[in-house]
Amino acid sequence: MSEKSLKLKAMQLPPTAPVTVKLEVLEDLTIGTVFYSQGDTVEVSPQEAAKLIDKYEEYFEVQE
Amino acid sequence: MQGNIGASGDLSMQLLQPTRPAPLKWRVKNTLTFDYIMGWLAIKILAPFLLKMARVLRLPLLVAYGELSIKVWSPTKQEWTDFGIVARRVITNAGVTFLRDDWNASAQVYANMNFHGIGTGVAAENVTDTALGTESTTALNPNNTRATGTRTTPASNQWRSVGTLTVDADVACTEHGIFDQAATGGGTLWDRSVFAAINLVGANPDSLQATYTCTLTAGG
Repeated sequence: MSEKSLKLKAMQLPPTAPVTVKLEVLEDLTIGTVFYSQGDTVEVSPQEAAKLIDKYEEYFEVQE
Repeated sequence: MQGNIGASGDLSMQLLQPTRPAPLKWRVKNTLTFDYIMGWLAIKILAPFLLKMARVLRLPLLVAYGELSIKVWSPTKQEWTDFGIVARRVITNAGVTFLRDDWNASAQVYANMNFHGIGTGVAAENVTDTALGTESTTALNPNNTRATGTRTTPASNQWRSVGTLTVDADVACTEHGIFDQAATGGGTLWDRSVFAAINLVGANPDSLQATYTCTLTAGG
């Protein structure tokens, strides 16, 4: 292998697609103007999911 | 006696794309505008209070509003800049009529309201708006094409669309709109948002990721 081919080249990567987490709502919950209905499945960002589960653990269950 | 011994394992890789907050100067400039402050007051203070009162007093009251968040991806720096929630105004008259028409025997299709346009117009949002002030066209890559959103439902009364627009010319982006068609220059405008200029560099080329969340309360 030549020395030239060993040189590192910076790769330009595209922006990542948004990643979401599905949560099943176990009990009715209202936070300000937003509500979550029992039995509904909501889809949120991982950061939002972490906040919801941290604060309202008994209201949500992470779905596969 | 002869033998071989070796080690094996799995190598997994995770792509980490760092995110940094928008410059303080930009955040101050965008926050200290009449429309931003009024939007924040309306949604964070007024709407929850009104809805609580409506439940107690059994008032028929329904509130709808949109929130727009923006992140910008710079391929040269390989990082995101998070501008956070940049605007909370405004759902248009044309958009509401479009919703009515969908309800009215599907004269329109609300599910099509999933295309993100950007522009450089600076006039304040108005419910009578039917288009962006100065919509970006050939600066977009592909030309004249709005971003198609990825839809999710983040709460039982919220709808969200995330669209990513890439530019191949410099754009001082100051406005965003949600439309029902991909081609620029037409379609019905559901919501228009105006904010402090976010500079996109065409040579990079930068990508703007717009997250639009619409909230519809119950009670009407």
